[in-house]
Amino acid sequence: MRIIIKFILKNVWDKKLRTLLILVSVMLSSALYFATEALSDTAADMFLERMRVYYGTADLMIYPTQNSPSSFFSRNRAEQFMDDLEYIAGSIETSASLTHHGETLLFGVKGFTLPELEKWNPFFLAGEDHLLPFRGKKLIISKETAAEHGFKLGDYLELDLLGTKRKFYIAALAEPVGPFQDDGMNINVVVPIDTLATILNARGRVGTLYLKLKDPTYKGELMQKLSTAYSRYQVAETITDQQLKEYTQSLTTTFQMMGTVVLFMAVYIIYTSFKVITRERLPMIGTFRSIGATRKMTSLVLITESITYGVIGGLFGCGLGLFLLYLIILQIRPAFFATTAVTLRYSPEQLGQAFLLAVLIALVSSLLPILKIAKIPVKEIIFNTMSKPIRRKRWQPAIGLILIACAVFLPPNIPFQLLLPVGMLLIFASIIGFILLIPSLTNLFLTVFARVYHYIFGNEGILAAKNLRGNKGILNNISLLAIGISSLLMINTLSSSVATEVTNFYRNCNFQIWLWAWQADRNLEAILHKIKGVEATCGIYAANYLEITNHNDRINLVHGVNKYKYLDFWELDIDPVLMAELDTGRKILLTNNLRERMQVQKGDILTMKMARGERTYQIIGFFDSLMWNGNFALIAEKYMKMDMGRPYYDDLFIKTNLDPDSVSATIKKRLERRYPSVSTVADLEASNRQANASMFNVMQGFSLLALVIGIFGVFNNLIISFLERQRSLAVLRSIGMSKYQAVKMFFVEALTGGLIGGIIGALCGYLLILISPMILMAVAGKIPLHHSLSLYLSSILAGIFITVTASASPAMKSSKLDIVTAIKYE
Amino acid sequence: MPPIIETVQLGKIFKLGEVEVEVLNSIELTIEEGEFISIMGPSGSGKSTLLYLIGGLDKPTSGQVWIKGRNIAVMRDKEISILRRRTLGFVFQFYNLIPNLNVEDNIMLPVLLDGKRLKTYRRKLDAILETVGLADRRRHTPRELSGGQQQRVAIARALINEPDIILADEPIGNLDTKTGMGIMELLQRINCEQGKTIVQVTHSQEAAAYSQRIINLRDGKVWEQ
Ligand SMILES: Nc1ncnc2c1ncn2[C@@H]1O[C@H](COP(=O)(O)OP(=O)(O)OP(=O)(O)O)[C@@H](O)[C@H]1O
Ligand SMILES: [Mg+2]
Repeated sequence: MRIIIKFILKNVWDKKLRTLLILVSVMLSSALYFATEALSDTAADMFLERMRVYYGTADLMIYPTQNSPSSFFSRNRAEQFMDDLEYIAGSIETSASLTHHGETLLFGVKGFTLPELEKWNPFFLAGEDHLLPFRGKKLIISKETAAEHGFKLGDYLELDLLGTKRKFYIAALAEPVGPFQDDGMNINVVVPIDTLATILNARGRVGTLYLKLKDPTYKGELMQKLSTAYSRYQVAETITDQQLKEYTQSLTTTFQMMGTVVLFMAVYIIYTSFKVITRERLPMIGTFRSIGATRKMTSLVLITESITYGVIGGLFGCGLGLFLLYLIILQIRPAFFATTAVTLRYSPEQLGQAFLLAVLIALVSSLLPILKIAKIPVKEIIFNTMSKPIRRKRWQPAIGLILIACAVFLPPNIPFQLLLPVGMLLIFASIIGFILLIPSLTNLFLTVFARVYHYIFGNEGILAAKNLRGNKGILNNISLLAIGISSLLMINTLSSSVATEVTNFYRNCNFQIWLWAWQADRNLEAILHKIKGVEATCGIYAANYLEITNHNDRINLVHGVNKYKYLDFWELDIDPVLMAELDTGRKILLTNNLRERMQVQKGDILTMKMARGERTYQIIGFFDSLMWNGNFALIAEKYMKMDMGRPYYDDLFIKTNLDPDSVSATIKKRLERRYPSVSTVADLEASNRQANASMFNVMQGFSLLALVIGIFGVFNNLIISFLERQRSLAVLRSIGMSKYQAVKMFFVEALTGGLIGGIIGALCGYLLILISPMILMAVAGKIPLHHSLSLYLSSILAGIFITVTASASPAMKSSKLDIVTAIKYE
Repeated sequence: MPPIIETVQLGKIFKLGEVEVEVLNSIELTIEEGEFISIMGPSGSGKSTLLYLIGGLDKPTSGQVWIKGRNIAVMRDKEISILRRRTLGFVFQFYNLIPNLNVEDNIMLPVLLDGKRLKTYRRKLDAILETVGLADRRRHTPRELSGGQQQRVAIARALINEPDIILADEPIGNLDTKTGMGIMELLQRINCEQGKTIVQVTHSQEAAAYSQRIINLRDGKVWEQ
């Protein structure tokens, strides 16, 4: 046994490149697996952390709505539930502005008592000056923001609060965490709650109550009770699990797809490497078997070898995975997070799983070749009489065709819940299908090329085409290229399509400014119209997360719209006749996305749970929109007002004929008391595009990784096949092939391999792109995919580039080949 | 007319680290056109080395090789490749066919390398296949042929470009006596009927008997009988 292991160690050492390739493949798969798994936790953490500036650690919050009798309320009724609560924190929140060096800084001002602030959202002071007693016009500000604007401890800030300027004393600087995080919009400061209460005439009352439960499972029940107690106020969860899931899922699905591709390539590389390894070791295995080693023993040694690769690759993979996770987080976290250190969250189990996966990949992909070798009788190995496995496997192309046919003619009506799994399955099916078809397709292409090559490359071209026929190394390369290129194509097409859609989405906006303001109504519209530059406005009623009881589903956004104005502001592809029909009763227009998701038709009835009870709406038509990922519907504004009891607009679209930036600044100033949130459409688009861009940067990084393994694998295959062909090459040289001809032959072979790999990759990619809308539909909504011819062409070129570059080394070696040594020894 | 092959002061020294092994020492050899020559000698005496030097597959340490009046030592890779494919034909002990090409493709390799159109060689190919007796095996791959048949393919390959010289390194070393003699008869016929110069390395007296002249190599020197 020991001697077998010694032999293997030597062999492993001799074939460093191959060993490295196997290790890298294992490593990358486990690293990606780990990063993907941990990413969802870390991203959730990041999301929660980011939201903490608004919600602290609270589970529930109570706040007034537009329909509440007052903006302030008493905390007494909540305090009767104190037994079930860890804390109650009351606050008053408002906004303020400060003119500083000619620039208007916007402040988010929160009034708290220090003990409650500490419970609600733990913070750390970096310096204080007469902070206690926390009374009067004092404030706490983040030390980073202070440094950024040149504020110092002990300075006075003259805040413009509801139109009156008031001087606040900077009594403490805080670390930029918790309530003092930079949220990218406002400067968040904390002042004594009593001070704000006095200014706002709210003595003894609060604007918002934050509650944390002792037992989170009791949340639903407590919400019910609180809702009764505060019947005219809103009792809500701070962050719903649904929100969290939606946020993390869209992030992780893409990574899962990438990881799957890498896994595929890794399995393929390990499988082919082990085929070569076992072939090479055959004489040795034969010898050992002939002197008494059992089949089990030799197989066991080989299996141990593969597990060792798994273990080593897994260990490094975990390390790489952590690093990768760090890089991804660095890339996708919002810019205003840049100052805080990246904290990775992962569990030891996730590391363990990644490690196990590594071992499993190595083991499973090597098992087939190992078992095959074990089956060969000793006699055949020693006398080298085993039939070399050249028999064509007729079933392979047949199965390949069937798999591809499945993917092409996929059943058109797949229920929404099955879209993701079926889509994934079809992606696998098409990749495997193409791999099985590759030998036949390659031969087909070679037949065609051989005809043409004579004219382009002369006789060396014919020779190259002949050499390629049935060449294992080339087939392996083509498979690797096909997997890599097709997945790259898919990812790139998806990303560019999403980017295009985002642009199109905003192109449909026929207005320039988007406004959210407190108690927006006709009155406010009138005020807006007086502002210079405001041309027209369109008020919209919006309701979120409406339950559809008869479909057990939800619509995330419903707009109550004005049939005359809406389409003029938002160019949706809806027949004006349908728009007019909305007003004729409880009618609803759904996105096509929702139609497919709920499997409904025109004329169907939706029972919606609305503020005033359940109401039935009839579907009168469908349209396309990416608003809220396509989870969006329209009803008439009058029914929205009626059924949701909405006296105020939720959004206002504003058309302007002047510079949107300056107009929106004027609006902000003018409406200060209504706490407006004003954005120009251009800004919204830019931030949306940027969020997408950083996401796709990461994805492209991933696909680059896949490409790198691909190149590595191709290179390895070329070296192996060069070693196998050394003798043939020497023979060719001996019968008159010049060095130039040899290099040319290698070049044409590489070119052909790359071309075929590229073409098959493009074909497979095309199929994957056909399938991917199913997956997109499940995770993001209906996004039309834009096939780009140049992308297809460049992927074919990439295939050629890879093989030609990778064949530089064998070509060089071929011209340095010592003919006599290569030819002489059998 | 100069001799078809001539070696002048041909020497070959192999360096193995510090140790120098002098395999060939000032070999002077003259072979006239149409001769059939056997090179004999004990194992390790440098027979193959000499043959490879003549064929330009290896470079001498000293001295020159002249083929048809041209010094191959000063030839560039392209010229020497052309010489190998047009003037020389090699036959090896282990046949050295390209395994993934069939009989026809293997035979046509020198034509292909010479940049000629394969079509114009159809009839030539038929004739050669007839000569070597493999007309019914054209589509077989080397793996599907016996050793003797493979050697015939190698000979056909050496003949296809109508070279003046055939260099054979133990062409029957790997075959049984009967098959070997068949190959020898084939070579003899090629020598007689087509007037080709043949230089073969052999260990077998029977094989050597087919040739007109025997050159003995021992201790790096030629001992002609
Ligand atoms: N590349 C090389 N490096 C070092 N020594 C070599 C090399 N090639 C041949 N030799 C040495 O040169 C000598 C002659 O070798 P060669 O193959 O010419 O012998 P040979 O006469 O053909 O023997 P055989 O009858 O066994 O084929 C041998 O001693 C061999 O060890
Ligand atoms: Mg020899």
